[in-house]
Amino acid sequence: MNRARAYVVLPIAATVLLLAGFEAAGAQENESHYVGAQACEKCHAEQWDAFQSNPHHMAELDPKLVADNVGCESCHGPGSRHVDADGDEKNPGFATMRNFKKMKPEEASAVCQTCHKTGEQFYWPQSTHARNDVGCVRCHSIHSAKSEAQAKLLVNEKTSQLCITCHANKKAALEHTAGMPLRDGAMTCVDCHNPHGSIGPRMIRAASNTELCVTCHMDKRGPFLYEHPPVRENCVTCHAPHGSNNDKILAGRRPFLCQRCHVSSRHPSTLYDAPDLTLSGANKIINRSCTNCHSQIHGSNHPSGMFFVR
Amino acid sequence: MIRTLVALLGLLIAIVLGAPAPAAGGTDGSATFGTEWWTQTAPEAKYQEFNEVPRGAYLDSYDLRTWRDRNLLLFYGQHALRTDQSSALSWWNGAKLRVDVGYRQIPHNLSSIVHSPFSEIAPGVEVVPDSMQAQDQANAAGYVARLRSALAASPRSSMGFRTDLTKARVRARAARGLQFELQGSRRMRSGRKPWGGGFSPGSGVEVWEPISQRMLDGEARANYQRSRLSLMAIAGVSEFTNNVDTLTFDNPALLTGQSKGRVDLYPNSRSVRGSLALAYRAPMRTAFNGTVALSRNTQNDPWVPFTANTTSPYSSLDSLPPERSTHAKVIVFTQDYRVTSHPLKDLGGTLRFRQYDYVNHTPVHTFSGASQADAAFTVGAVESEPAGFKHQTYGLDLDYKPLQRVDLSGTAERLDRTRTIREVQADREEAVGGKVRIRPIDKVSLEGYARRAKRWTRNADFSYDGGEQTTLRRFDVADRKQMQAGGSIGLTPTDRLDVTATFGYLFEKYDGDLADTAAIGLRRIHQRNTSADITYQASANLDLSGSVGWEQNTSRQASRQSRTAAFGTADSTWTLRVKDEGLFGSAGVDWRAMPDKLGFNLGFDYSRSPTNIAFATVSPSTVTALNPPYIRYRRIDLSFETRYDLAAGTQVGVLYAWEEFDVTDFSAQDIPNLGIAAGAANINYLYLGDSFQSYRAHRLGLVVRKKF
Repeated sequence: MNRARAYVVLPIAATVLLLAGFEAAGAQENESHYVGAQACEKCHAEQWDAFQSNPHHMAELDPKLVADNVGCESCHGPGSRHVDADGDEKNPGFATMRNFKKMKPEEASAVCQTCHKTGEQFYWPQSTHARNDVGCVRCHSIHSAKSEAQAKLLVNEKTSQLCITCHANKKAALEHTAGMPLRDGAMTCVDCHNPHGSIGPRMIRAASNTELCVTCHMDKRGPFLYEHPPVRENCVTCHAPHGSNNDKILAGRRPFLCQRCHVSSRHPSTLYDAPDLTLSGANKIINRSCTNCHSQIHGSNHPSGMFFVR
Repeated sequence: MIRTLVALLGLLIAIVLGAPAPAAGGTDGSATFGTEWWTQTAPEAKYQEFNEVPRGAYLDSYDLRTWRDRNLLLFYGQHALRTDQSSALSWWNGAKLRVDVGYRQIPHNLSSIVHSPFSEIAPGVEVVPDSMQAQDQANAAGYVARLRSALAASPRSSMGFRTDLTKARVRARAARGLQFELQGSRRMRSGRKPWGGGFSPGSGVEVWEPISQRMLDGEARANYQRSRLSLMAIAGVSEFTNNVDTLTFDNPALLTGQSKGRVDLYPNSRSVRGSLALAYRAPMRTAFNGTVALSRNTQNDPWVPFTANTTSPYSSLDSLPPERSTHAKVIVFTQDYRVTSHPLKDLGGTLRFRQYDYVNHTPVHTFSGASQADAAFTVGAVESEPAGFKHQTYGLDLDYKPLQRVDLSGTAERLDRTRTIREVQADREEAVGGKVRIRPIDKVSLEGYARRAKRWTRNADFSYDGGEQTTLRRFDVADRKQMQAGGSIGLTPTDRLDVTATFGYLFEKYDGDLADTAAIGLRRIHQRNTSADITYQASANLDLSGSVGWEQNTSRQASRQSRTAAFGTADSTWTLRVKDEGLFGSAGVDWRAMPDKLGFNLGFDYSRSPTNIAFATVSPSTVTALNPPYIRYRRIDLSFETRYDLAAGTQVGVLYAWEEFDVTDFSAQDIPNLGIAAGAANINYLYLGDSFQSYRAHRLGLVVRKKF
């Protein structure tokens, strides 16, 4: 091993050994031990019955595929002391089961992450929600999910209503006259955002805004012969995705939105005011304004399309 | 086909449900159905913009759940057999297998009142009678009269499109910690939307753009999880196919020469992607995530000739360069690394880095000229400009809990951006922010945050090659100072009362190396918003809720008018302030007058979106700018529902709803079919006339909810 390589390998090896040592020292078993799910049925018959049709119940059927301990105790922890307490709340053993409503969000989420570490939840530890103490049980309920959201076991019937509970500042934006079909239920917040975290900004389901938008608006993906560079870099340059007062959820009203960037000469720079509504310039200010003619504003593949009119 | 599939699935479920359930299984479900009548004072598509309000009998929602042994099956859906229907099926087989299939239709109704003299004789070919073109060319004086006559003879029709989305996913666990997933989606979009094309500066036509598109996406995932290590590998491909390549439309005014226009509609494209992600959870609450992703986007649709004008030699493919297609290729490279650690009980932080590199490998194509708007060919080299860019974000987040009820967090971030084609080739933004959360007592929570950012140009050339005024600073790349602040208050004085209030503020100031008053472009943005929500359980049988909110976005921009063809001959400088507002309120009452027997529900929603446009100053003062008229959208919904429990699991209800949509918008209302300037003899634009219309609608329905 040459010296340069040793400088790299040795610190890494030392760190791994150190961390392994911490792990061994940190492993402490609860005094309680596992007693099996049947022990829960006696007192928690209602939850027991309901759980038989719960997706999590399926994990019990293939124990070797999921976790070492399955059934109620896989989430609530070993139950021997709780069972021994025999319903006596004053018995110290009674409270040894995990009660997710009373646990800190980070601790409760860590239990869920025992199984839900990959896929949608892969980026959870670094997510904005995790950082802000928004745990799994804030949005999900294993035993009391609303009927219309059974597959996702959400605490609200509608996903967007659930998000707005905390993100109330988005409510006004969603009420603007132009918006995406969230109010109609054809879309939800999680179509664009992954509440469990992502590598994209604002937990969006893509690495960039444009990449996200073209998931549904694939026609605008290009690449085109003639690109409109700000469009290519970020759709949000011109659009306000949560809603706006302007057609096509534009961030500003045309032609003035376009005139923020285009002021060369003649019509791009012209002041279109009230008298223009009855003059020949009306087609620059009414209907779709600039895009009455520059319709291919997202990009053109036409050899004469450099100004996006073809 | 899809509806048949859904019906078959429903039949399958019914068979399963019909069979006697063994002791280890069970079945339950519910359905909501009824009949409805409604009326609307004007045929405005906004009433059903993204949905279908049913008329007559309807099945609103249903869900079925059956479980037996290792199997759990969910089947649920909404709005069956309507244009906004959705249905989904999920099947679990133990922990080994999960299958999800879903189907959804999303309508987008744009207008119910358009009409046009054009006829679509083939997909993407829209024509007016040759005789009309010939007469118009020979006798321009009668052009408007002939168009009026043609419009009078054309029926009003509706315009919109629908997206049919089918999704499927299969997840299988092969062994402990090893999971495979296959998912795919098909998105079919069909219908028509308005498309406008000019024939010369100042005139044009609006026709229907035919939409017949297919978007396919497929992805395979492999997840491996072992103790502290998780790995995720993803490979996917997506393909866009436009079934209509071009839109060709007649020029009603001419039969020869510039007699038609042709646009190359969005081209077919493909994207292939792959990524590898690793997560390692180290001791001491430390976690590392790293992701590397690569995708390749390509597009190689054949070009159309420079012009559709057949009298021009440039209407032939031979006039194009030998390539005949764009050969567009983009490689997107993404890498993201994050380390989160909580070395102390009350102290944590994240160090992160992300790079998004959009490398455009599309060759530069040089054309001998162009035929703008299918007009005469202008000779002069025209080059395409493949745009590429790179974003790199470095961030540090810290979280500290000095007291049991106090959380502090801070963020520092730097964003470096570079571009291949723009006046600003490189810029940098640095931001710092902080947040505090306090819960002084159990019933009160307070939160406040602030963020300050500054962006500046590192490498730029504002000469614009003579194409723009040199004092222009485009807002997406201009130097910018940004200030954000906000907060919320949450009060829960009793278990029955919950009050939340939020506010937010954003200020952006754009400037450059010139004095603010000299710079052209967007100068400032102010955004303010506030909202308040209250829920109150007045009694065991009465719930009340309400919310109000307000948002205001104000922008100020400047421009320099140069009406003459000669570039740079500025004749006036103007500034503009646009104020967009949104105000909403809602209230709800849920009264269970006779618990488990009789109940009432009242809902009210109000939203108002005004826009005010004001030209603040104009120089020289000899030019007077008159502000455009005030714009306002208002929508009021009121609904009342009474429900009665006939028997266990059976509920009937009567619904009445009223909706009012009121619009005042000079740019989207009373759009004429013929745009004729005052005193002019000829039209400057031929519109489809898809104007917004104010309306009132009443809805009356009978609803039955059945659980089984």
